[in-house]
Amino acid sequence: MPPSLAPFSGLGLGLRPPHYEAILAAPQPVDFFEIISENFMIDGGRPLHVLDRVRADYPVAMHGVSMSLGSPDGPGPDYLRRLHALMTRVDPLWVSDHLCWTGVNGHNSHDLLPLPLNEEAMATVCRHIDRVQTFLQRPLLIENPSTYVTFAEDTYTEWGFLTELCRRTGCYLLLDINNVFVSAHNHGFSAQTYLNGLPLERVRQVHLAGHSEGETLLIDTHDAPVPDGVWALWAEVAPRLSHAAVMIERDDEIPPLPELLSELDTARRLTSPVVYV
Amino acid sequence: MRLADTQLDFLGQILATPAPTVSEGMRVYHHAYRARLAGAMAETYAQVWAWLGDETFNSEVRAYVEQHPSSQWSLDDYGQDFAGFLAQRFPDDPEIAELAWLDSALRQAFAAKDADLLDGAALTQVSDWETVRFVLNPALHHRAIRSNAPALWRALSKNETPPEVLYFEETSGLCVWKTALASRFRTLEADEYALICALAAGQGFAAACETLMRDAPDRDLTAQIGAWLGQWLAEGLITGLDTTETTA
Repeated sequence: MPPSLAPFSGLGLGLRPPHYEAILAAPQPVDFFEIISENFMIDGGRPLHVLDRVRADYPVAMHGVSMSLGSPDGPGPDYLRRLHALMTRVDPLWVSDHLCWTGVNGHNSHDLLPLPLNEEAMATVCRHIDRVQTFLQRPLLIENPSTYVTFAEDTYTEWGFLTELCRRTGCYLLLDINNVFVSAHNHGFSAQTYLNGLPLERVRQVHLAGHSEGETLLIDTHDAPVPDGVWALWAEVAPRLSHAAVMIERDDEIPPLPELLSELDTARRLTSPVVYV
Repeated sequence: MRLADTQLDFLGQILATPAPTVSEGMRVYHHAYRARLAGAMAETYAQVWAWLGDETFNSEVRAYVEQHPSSQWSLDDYGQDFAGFLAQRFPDDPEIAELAWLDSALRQAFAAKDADLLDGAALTQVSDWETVRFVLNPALHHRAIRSNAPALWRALSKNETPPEVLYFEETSGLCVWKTALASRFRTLEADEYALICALAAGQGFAAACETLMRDAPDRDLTAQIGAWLGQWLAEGLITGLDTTETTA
């Protein structure tokens, strides 16, 4: 089992190129920034220069999208070597990735693809989490994905699968409230049942994001403000997650920084409700 | 079904053309794959896009994506063969592939290892010019070109009307590299480019100069080579000296 991971209960934003200038120009009212690890797993250039300057002033969480913990091969040696180098450079709050697979047989979809939630997938994901945690000498945070299909082979619920992953590997959770909202709509389960079924004490970080509407499905596009339904779900569960770091996640149609800071204020109000005495 | 078989089948449905009709969910994944790769290419190939226009660029990207499944974990590395693909699609318009190469090389230079400029005083410390090798900028990419693609690129990147396309009898060199976190590029005449190619291939400076002068016996290039050397130092094409004698 990896070492335990102390909680950090701040409010943060993703570090994205359109905001570099503003973030470097003046202190911002955030407690941490989250980076997409792969964007900085490079040899040099301005992004690393910016990251070093940001890291000097703020804690940073590393969030990956390419670990492919659910594919039979898992992450390759080049990927892990670069991830380790970045981790050493950043000394992050934590390193996270998703419950998903991204490719197989040398082909990469660059997407967070859904897993059949059964024992074979459980054994595969556990094996790779163990391997990565041993390599990094740190526990991972695993994020629940948005999914658009389920499999006839499923023998676990997603929350049951995540709970068992934590038990077997000692990993922690990155809980994406929007993804719970989206998958609950897409697959017809109760978001409350999902949240009640998770070991919330293992959650170290929360994502709040927006989505878009397909024909009948909701799609996790990260290109819109956090919608009312996601805020409402967060308001319900926030009192039980006061130990977790919370951030607004926006990857497309990125608005000016003040707009995201305003959304973060909403999260702040819901996360720390006013207490009347 | 075994996990690997399930995933092979799933990926097969994503890569299939046309889109699978089995479920809305599979169509979401099918569409997202293409949208993500096309988005990455639109970001990298901004000036090719401006040159070809929306319709042609999007059509070429769609064709490229269908023929080139991604095999790298980094999305930023996707599409690096686009210049070669366009060279085959537009054999009579070399400026298109050359613009694509320049877009891609600038992108790769952006994320390449950084290096400081070499202080010219270091050259005064060289005791044996027969063995000295220059370390070139780690972000350096170079290729031969036969159009005025660099001029087109500059105009397109500033949203200016590009000049008339020109094709040249003799090829020249196009170098891309990075200094002070900024990617940059320059066209090199044939002799200077030949020398840079030799140095980039690891040849010693003296040997590379000797080869160049042997190939141009009717010209005295000594002063010219000295001028190039000064320019390479000033603009960061050379970032180090290796005075270790080798037998390679």
